[in-house]
Amino acid sequence: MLVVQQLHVGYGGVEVLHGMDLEIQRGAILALLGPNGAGKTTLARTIAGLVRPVSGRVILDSIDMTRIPAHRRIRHGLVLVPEDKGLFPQLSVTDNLALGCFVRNRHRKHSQFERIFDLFPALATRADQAAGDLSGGQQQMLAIGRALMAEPDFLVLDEPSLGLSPLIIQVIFETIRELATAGMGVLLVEQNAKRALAIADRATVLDRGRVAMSGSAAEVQEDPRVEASYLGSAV
Amino acid sequence: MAEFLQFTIDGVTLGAIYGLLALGWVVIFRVSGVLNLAQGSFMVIGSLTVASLANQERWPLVLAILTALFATVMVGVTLDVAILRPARSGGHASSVIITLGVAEILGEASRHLWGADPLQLSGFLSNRAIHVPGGATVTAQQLLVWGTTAVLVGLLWLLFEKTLLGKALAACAQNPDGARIVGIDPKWMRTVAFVLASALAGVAGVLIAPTTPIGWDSGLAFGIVGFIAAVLGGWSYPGAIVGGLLVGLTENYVAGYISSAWKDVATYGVLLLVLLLRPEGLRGLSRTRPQQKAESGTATAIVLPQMGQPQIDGPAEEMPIATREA
Repeated sequence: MLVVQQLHVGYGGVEVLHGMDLEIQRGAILALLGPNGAGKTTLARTIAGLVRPVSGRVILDSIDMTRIPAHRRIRHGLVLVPEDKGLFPQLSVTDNLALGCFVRNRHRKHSQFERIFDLFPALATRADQAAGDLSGGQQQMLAIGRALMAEPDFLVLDEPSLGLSPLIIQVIFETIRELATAGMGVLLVEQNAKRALAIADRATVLDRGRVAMSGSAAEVQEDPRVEASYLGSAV
Repeated sequence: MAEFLQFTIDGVTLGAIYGLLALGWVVIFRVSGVLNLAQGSFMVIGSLTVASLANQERWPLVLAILTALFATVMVGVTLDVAILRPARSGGHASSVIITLGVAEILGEASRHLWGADPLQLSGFLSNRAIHVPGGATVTAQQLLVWGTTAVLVGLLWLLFEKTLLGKALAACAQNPDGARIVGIDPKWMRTVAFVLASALAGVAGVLIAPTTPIGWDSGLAFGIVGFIAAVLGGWSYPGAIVGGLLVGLTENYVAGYISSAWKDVATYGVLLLVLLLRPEGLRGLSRTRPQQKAESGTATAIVLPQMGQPQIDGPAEEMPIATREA
């Protein structure tokens, strides 16, 4: 279980998150919704260790991760797919994937390659191309594929649908659902609320750094306030 | 013509050594964003160690060379682990000041250890000249410099193209946050970069030791020459060698045809010309990826390539307000 407790995060004295609480079970998808500037990306980056919180804790399977540096969190099975994808543009698709299991799972690299290429055949045909030369959709697949190389227990996805065509979004979201069903915990940060709610088990709506609403995906979807304030414009 | 050919041969030799220094600058800067002004001091320590051990202490040459390389790498690793790491250096400016201080300290330490007089390694290889077509001569020593440089460039190429460690080093340069996400520790990658850079400087020091007397106080000047070569080469690995050759040739032509008093003026003149006319260095002449091009406008952008500032010290604070969620 991934738990976020009373997380306060700020930049240069300006607080962005005012005491966030979250819980994600293995095998479940939690959709994190909310308008631009609500603090979704900040939360994702704090969970990954790229941003240090002012106070509060990030706990993974009862291990306190708050003071563990970003590069060590992958060893505990926690991996982020950042909003900007975090790829290495001049390295090939294969090299990007290989670095995905630089510290974890390295001995199973070859079977992992096959798995990722099965999942995203578009990557297999471009194995030797530089990541920077891929299309946006292919880069997103590569970013997710690289994260999966480590076989994470918990995956944090920051806006995986950003700028992608509906067809590719469908492929990626179906993949995320399958991974969760297979036992992975997923935090899905999305502005595309309808699509996110369609695959999520639970949802949390974030507004100006606070939890505005939290519940099962169905509850959140049907809540009239949420519909009016957050979902209407974001589809 | 024979004269020109001779200046060229000598210039290429000196340029290869400068190229090794420049490679050290490039590998540390690309991996970690640190500008290491002590790069030339590493080289001087290599030269003085090998010269003193082989000539004064009568150590076998191979042992003296290995000890010199070991000493330079130790100095490089110590600078990174014992000084830069606790200093939590974040940014070009603080790394410049720290490594400048270290260069001064290493200079004074060298004077204490080896005395104020410059040392030159003798009895390294015979200075017997080999005549080449065109009337110039090449010494065995020069061939050794060329060959060693070529082998080191090849090894570096293998490291970056064929090994996961090389890819991890490149990953730090291309996307520091992405590197941290996949579990690469930027702190240790910078140490690896310092090992590579100080080893390259150590080899440069051994190679230059028989050709010219090296003084305790010449570290900073050699370091700056390496920096100039790196700038000329646009901070790419092949560019570092090309930049080194350009500086070496310029120095030899100017020293040969005008006066050796003018060679530094020429070197810095070339630097200024490049900064004014081609701020992105020579990189623009070869295949270039657009996002790599330096933006002109600010002083650092002119000299240094645009790249993310790596976070060395674990979960550090983000940049202020500017990077807030869009």
